[in-house]
Formats: sequence, structure tokens, C-alpha cells
Amino acid sequence: MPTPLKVIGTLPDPRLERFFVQLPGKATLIFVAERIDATSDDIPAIPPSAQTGLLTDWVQIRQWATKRDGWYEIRWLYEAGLQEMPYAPNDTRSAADRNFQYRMEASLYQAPLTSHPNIKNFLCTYGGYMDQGQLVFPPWDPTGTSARAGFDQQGNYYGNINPFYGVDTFLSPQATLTRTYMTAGNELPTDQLYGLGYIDTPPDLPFVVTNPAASKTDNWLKSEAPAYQHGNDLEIDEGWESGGIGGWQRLIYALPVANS
Amino acid sequence: MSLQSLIDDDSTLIMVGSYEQNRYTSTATVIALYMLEDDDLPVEMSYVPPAPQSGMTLTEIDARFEDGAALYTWFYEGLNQIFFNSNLTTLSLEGSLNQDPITLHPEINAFIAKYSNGWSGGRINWLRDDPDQASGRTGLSFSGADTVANINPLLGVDSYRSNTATYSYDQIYTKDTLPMDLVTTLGTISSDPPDVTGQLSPGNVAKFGVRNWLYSGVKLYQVGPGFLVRKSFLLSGLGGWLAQLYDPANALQSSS
Repeated sequence: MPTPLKVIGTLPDPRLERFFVQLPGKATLIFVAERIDATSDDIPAIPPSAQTGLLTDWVQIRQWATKRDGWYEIRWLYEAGLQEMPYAPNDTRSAADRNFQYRMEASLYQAPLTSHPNIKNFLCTYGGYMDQGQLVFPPWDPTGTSARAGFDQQGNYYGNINPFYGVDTFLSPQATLTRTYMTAGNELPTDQLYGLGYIDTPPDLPFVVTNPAASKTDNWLKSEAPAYQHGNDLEIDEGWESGGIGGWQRLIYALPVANS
Repeated sequence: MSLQSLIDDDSTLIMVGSYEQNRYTSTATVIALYMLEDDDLPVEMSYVPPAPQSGMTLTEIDARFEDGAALYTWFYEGLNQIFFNSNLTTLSLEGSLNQDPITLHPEINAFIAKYSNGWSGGRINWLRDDPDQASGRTGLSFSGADTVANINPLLGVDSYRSNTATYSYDQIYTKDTLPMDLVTTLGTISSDPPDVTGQLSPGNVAKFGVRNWLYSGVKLYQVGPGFLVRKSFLLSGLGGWLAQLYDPANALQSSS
């Protein structure tokens, strides 16, 4: 069971109005009090009922609003991050599965045909060559097996045109993966930023996501690292992008080895 | 006095709940109402009643306090077990038309042989008259001076409307049933989705041409203890996706 978090908050004035807890572990408490003809001196900094029960890492936000007939409504909103999201006793998932939220999207993008791992075979089989940095295939089909028809640039018709004639891109897969969790304190995890832009392995995935292009599980680029404060704690998002064909270029994206 | 002991002592005034099931997920709430007689009643965030259904997970707690009463609501989410156990999917299909060159038509070679006298300058030289004299169409001659009965139906045609489509389906999984090839098969010609409507069946080739689907996208969202997965597929043009690039046996394999 998670460590119980308790507040004493039912005194009539100020009184606890509401608390709520949301994934991945954001807790919020609201105390409210009313004063008539209040001045700023009359507005207590901390609700007395909250002083003894709140943990030290809660952060308070005070709001007040005027109501009719000179009444003021004062609200104290406390925020904190729960390191462990409360869970039902019949929830059998592991702590890691409970406390991390995952999202993944994958799609296709236009990649240069020259980056295809089989490009050498394509060139050999279909008569392709490089001309001043441009990939060129002849309009005729050296294999004689194409069932496609078309014209070449000079307007000559081919009943069996080279399937690679005019092709200079192909659809290559890419994927993005994000996970969200809460972390204690308002200090970022030590690896939150330094790995950004470098090849990384998304940790503790609840499912297997092999990099679609590189067929390597370790060839992801850490691409996102936003953090949002909730109370004194942080909601951490981490994002990774899969590499293109062949994976991320290690020459460019490998994490540098620190000099000792 | 803790929330747990209140429940154990049967001091709760009322404890009710709701349960809803949609196509993919089931959601439930447990609501407890207490009278607050003791100012020292601790407010516990860690206490969670058991989920009403096995496999559901807690997603939110909301507690409100008013006039000496406390109203707790616990929200749970789980997978729709009927949907999950049956491996059911929800499909959506969108079809539209592309403007493709007539040279991509599957019968183009037959068209050229019968309705033209060859080509020049990248254009097919269509005959003026229908060789069968059966088109039933009337048009102007090349000079515009005469009306031609049974004019060549392909005269002046350089493009045609070719159908295209995207197909997607949703399915739910647990962590243990999530397919291993969810991402690795992306960008390859796929027999998934199954040809549920028979659109690509051999019997339809004459009308539909030889086409196939490219597995073009996947999205994964966490829902309760499981995952909602949406896979998308793109219909090829006539002739199918280029096998050299997109056939699973060829695509993304290292040549070394």
C-alpha cells in the first residue's frame, strides 16, 4: 500500500472543501473560508486546520474573491505530487505499470530512396545509377517483369516500365513514444536533460516496441523532456523518436563519453 | 478514525456506485457519503475501495466536503472484457478518388492497341472513331467542322478517376496480449486488415484492379490496465504497392 497521506481538514473555518487525485499522481486540496469586511491582514497565510496535517512538500496557492454584502471568499489551494498513485487493493499491476502512463504513435514519412538498405540491389537489378548526386533509373525494365505502363520524360511509352523509374523516395516508418510520471521534489532527474538529442533506450516499457526501421530496441533518440511543477513535485514527460532506416547515426547521436 | 475503519464500522451513511461499459472500456465509480462528526477525521488519499470489477484500475479520486458531510468518489477504468475476449475490432473506412494518368489504368495496353495509333510527345494519339462503331457517343471532329457519330470514347482522355481508401481499426489489448509486431511491420504490405468486405477478393480484381494495403500507422493509448490500439492502412493504386519496397520479405531488410 502507498504511504498514507493525511491532512486534518474539517474545521468549520477554514474548512476543507475538496480534494482530488489524478493520474499520474497529482493531488490537490482546497480549503475555503469566508470573511466579512476583510482586509489583507485578516486573510491568514495558511489555514489553521491545514498547518498540522500537511506534508512539507505541499505548495500553497492563495486566492480570494469578493462576494456580495462585503463578504470575501478565500481559498487555499494545495498541490503535491504523489510518488505512488493510490490504487485499488484488487489492482494486480506492478508499481512501475501503475505509476507510468504511456502513449505511442507511429506513421510513415517520405525518406530518400538512397537511404533504403536494399538500394544497392535496386541499382544492380533495375539499372540505377547516380548522376551528379541524383538517383536515376532508366525507363525500361531490365528484368522484363514489370506489369506497369507509363511514359518516360521524352514522351516514349513503355508497356512494361521500370518500376523504379522516377522513384526517389519511399515510405519509411517512424514512431514516437512518451511516458509520464511524478517525481519527488522540484529538482529534475539528473538525466532529464543531458540525454536529450542522444541515442537512448526507453526504460521499463510495459510492452515490446522494437524500433521499426532499425530492428534494434536500443536505437531511439530522446526527443522530449518537458517537466511541469505540481506542488513541490514535478510531472515528468519523456519522449523518444525511433530512428529512420538503419537507426540513428551513432557518429552524430551517440551519447558522448565523459572525460574522467 | 480512518476512512477504512469508518467503512469497517458500517458508519458510512451510503455507499453506492455506477458502472458503464462502452465499446472499449468499462468505467465505474464508487461513491461514499459520510457525516463528519469529528473534526479530526483524517482525509486519506491512500484509501481506495476495491474496484467493482477485477482488472479495473483507479484513475481519479474526488472528495467534496459540505455542511458536515464528506462525499468521496473513486473513479475506475478497465477494459471491456466482452470486447477484449472476443478479439473484436471497430473499423472505419474512407474511400475517395484520385486523378491518375490514364497510363496507370490496368487496361492501358489494350486501350492503346485498340483505340490509338501509337503515341508521341508523351501523349497517346487516340483515334477519332470508335473502331467498333458502337460507342454511342457523338462529338466534333478534330477540325470542329463535322459531327462524328460513335466517336472514340477515349478521345481526349489523359486521366481518370481512380479510387483510393484508408482503413483503420481499433482493438484493445492487455500488456501481455499486445502484438510484438505492432511497430516492426509498419510500412509493409499487409494482409491485415482482413478483407472483411471482400473488396479485394480475386473476384473483384476485374473491377477493382490488383491492389493491396500498406500498414501505415499505429497509435497506442493507455486505458485503465490495458491499451487501445488504432492501426491504419492505406490502399495502393492499381498494381499494388511496389513489392520491392514494401513487401515484408524485402522491406527494411539489411542488404549486408
